[in-house]
Amino acid sequence: MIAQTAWEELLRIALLGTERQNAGLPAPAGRLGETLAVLKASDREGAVLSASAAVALYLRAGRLPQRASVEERSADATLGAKDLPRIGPRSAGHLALMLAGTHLEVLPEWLAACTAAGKRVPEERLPALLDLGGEQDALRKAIRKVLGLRGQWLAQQNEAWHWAITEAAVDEKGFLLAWQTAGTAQRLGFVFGLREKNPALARAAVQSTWKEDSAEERASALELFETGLSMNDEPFLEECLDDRRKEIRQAALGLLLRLPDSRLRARAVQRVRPLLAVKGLLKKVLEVAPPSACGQEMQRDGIETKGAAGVKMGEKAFLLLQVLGQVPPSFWSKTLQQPPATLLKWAAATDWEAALRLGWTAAASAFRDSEWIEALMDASPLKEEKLTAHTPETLAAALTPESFARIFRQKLKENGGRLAGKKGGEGLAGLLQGSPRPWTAALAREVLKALKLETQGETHWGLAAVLRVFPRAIPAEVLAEALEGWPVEGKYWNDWKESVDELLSVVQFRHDMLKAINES
Amino acid sequence: MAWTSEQILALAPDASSAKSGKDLASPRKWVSFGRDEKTAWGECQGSGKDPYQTRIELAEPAFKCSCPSRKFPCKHSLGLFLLLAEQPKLFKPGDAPPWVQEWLASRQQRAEKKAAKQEAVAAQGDDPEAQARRAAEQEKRAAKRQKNVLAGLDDLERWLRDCVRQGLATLNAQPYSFYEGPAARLVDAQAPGLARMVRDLAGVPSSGEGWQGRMLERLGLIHLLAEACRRLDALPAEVQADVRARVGWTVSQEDLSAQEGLRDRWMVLGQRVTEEEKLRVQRSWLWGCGTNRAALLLNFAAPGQALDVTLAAGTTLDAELVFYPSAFPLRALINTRYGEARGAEDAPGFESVAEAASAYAKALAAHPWLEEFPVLLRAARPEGGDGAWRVRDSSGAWMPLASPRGEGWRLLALSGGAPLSIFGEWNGERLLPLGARAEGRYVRTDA
Repeated sequence: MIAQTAWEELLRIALLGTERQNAGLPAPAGRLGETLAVLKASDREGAVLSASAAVALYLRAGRLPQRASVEERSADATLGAKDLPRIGPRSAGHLALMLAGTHLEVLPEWLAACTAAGKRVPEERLPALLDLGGEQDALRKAIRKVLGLRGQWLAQQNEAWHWAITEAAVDEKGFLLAWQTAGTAQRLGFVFGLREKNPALARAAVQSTWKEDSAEERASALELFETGLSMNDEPFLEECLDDRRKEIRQAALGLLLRLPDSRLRARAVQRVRPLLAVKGLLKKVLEVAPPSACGQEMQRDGIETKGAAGVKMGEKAFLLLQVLGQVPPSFWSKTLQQPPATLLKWAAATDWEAALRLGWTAAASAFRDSEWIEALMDASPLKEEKLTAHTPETLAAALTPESFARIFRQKLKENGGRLAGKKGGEGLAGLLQGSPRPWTAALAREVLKALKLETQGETHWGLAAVLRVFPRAIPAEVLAEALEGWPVEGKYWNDWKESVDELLSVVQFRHDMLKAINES
Repeated sequence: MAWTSEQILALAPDASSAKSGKDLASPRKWVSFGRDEKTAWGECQGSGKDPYQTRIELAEPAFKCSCPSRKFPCKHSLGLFLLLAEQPKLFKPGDAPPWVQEWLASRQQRAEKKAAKQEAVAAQGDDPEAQARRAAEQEKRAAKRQKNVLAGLDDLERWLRDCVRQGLATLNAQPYSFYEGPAARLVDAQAPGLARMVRDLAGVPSSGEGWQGRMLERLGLIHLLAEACRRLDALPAEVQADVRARVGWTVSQEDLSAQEGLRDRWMVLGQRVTEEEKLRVQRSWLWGCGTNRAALLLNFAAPGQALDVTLAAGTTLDAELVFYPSAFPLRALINTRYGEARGAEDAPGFESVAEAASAYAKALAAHPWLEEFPVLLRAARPEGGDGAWRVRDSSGAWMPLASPRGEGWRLLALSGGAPLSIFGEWNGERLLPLGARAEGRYVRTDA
């Protein structure tokens, strides 16, 4: 009798209980049997317990390790290949803190700094970072850049991390083969990695399975075409305008509008050219001839006949708004030979003011035209602006940081250096919330100066918004200044202290982490 | 040794202290701060009129703060320490102010007093009369406890036999109190170690498939311990020590430090903190780089108190350890340290899984109640995926790996597919990895 059988026998006796049966103790051969033989049979329970201890220990001590067959061995990694240098221990500590949930909101900035320093994250943080990317799509792009070769290798070992793989087979044929067998997440990773280096191959791969793939998959892949976008993509994207699915058509439309030489852009300009004209000699007026109907070609180009619910606008006005939105607003300053402010003033005198304003606003924001944005932000508010998402605050986001800084500093000056509005209103706070980030150093310094001034006075709800924005908006070189010079002796400081301190802890962390990133 | 923010935050007695400490790690919060070679100090403006005076002795480290907090170290100490670690350049070297010097002097005095007291005790030990008197008192106390424990064992044996008589199959229907009752009686009988073993049984029926086998094994080992305790005098001295330790007798540290120690370069391979009856227990595993043997240091902290922070995983200390008497000596104390802790060293460990398995068998033969066996595998590859991890050596032999907190993936990331050194606790079924060393770098793998 071997020990394992003896154990099973003992377990059977113990499970049923000695009062229900009268089986004798097992008697295995050898030393174990000799040991069990010494136990007094009269003390049945004691003997079962003693025998269990002896047999369990015997089995535990005698267990031999299992062996894997050669086939089961995992393939070796490409170690020794030159990977990016690992970040230093202090940076590793910062990353660990963020991954544990402290100041997680500044992780994108850290990832960008790590990428700029040409480094990779330490191996032990790869699983947590890959898990995070799996949950938050928005972080994937940045995470892929700090994984290094090791991270790429690791991502291949876990299906849930396949989105991170950007390196596929070395040659084109091998790549297209790998593409056929890859899952959705992995394919998107391939497209992402390839659009920078070989956009044509990425496009060819997407096209090779275009007919089988789901609309969702295709739309996600198209969105990645933003990287490496060129006129080489135009024929394919133009074809996409005929797709049955709206999400595909919209993705293609967005990309084509960004290509100045695309046929779509030419058609859009053709379409709007006859709509506006300047008439009159002494007193000039803007003459508006809105499109009368929405033809098939217009519909193909994404122009809709019905707006979203809540748009209180006639059909013609709505068409006008949309076609204007597809043409860079600078087209009008050039064609009509007038600055934006003048055109806006003239627009106010027409019957189509709302459509013109909203169309230009959409266009200025989409084509990031600073001159037009500034003019639109300066123009007196339009009641109908509430109908779209393009309020002055969201317009500001489309400005370059420099243009925003110029406009904001002007407004700050007009407001006597105060951020708060008169009578406790929101003042300039709202504008800062939608600002492009990071701020320029000059703007950051002025906002800080103003904040330090405001915190000498009573607390003020309008400033709460600014306070929340600044810790992440100020650029790296101003971080140290943000930590100093607060009116800690001030009469009202105790009321401010808690909220300011909490925000400064973000500033402090950013300051430390950016400083540490270049340390080895 | 330079302290990292992570190490300092590990000193925090609880999470809220850690957070407050982080918030205070900003120069704005401090009226003044400075340092010299061995100390750092600062004055922190709190809500009171006078700033709190915080001082840190860096080598140990030791803390003192004038704030009224009962937590230790307090948030000011943590904040100042973090600030020093993160922005060392802010601390201008200088002479310690009087309030720092006073503290250092009083520490010095206390150390001297303690040494004097120890000397006095030692001297007293030379006096034969006093020695005899103390021995007699001790014997009397020991005899009384022995009687108590034996009475407790009778109760325990009855309970164990009842379990076997009625059958283990019924145990999964028993409430928690079924185990708590006998455990409480064992505490009363001054056998806290046995009490813990009985209390731990409560979790076995819910531990998944095969619980009946695990239950029988544990009941057998408790029975074996009770039997051994009854026949204590018939056992070899080392086994007696193990039995007494498991039942719950403690060994006085003074008695221990009088014993001969073992000096080596001890690498701290892993650390784990568990909660035991409101106490936090820190287990630090050391491995002698020259002697190739393991040691376990235990450190206990009451709520709000800090654990020993001078042992950081990944460092090596030149020290003399004294081992608690045992047939398989593992638990130890640091008797003397020589110099400051240094970086990680390459501890030898086991060459193969087979070698580790055979060492475990020997250890178990000497100490049947051994719960965790330290395993340092020199060149092993982690393999597997979610739910089924293992480490394999070059011969293909492998041991299953526990991965309760993503240890498996972390190890795989560190390995890059190549072999690495892995350290962990082996419980006879799974290896719980606590640390690894790859490409010359030590990394904790538990978080």
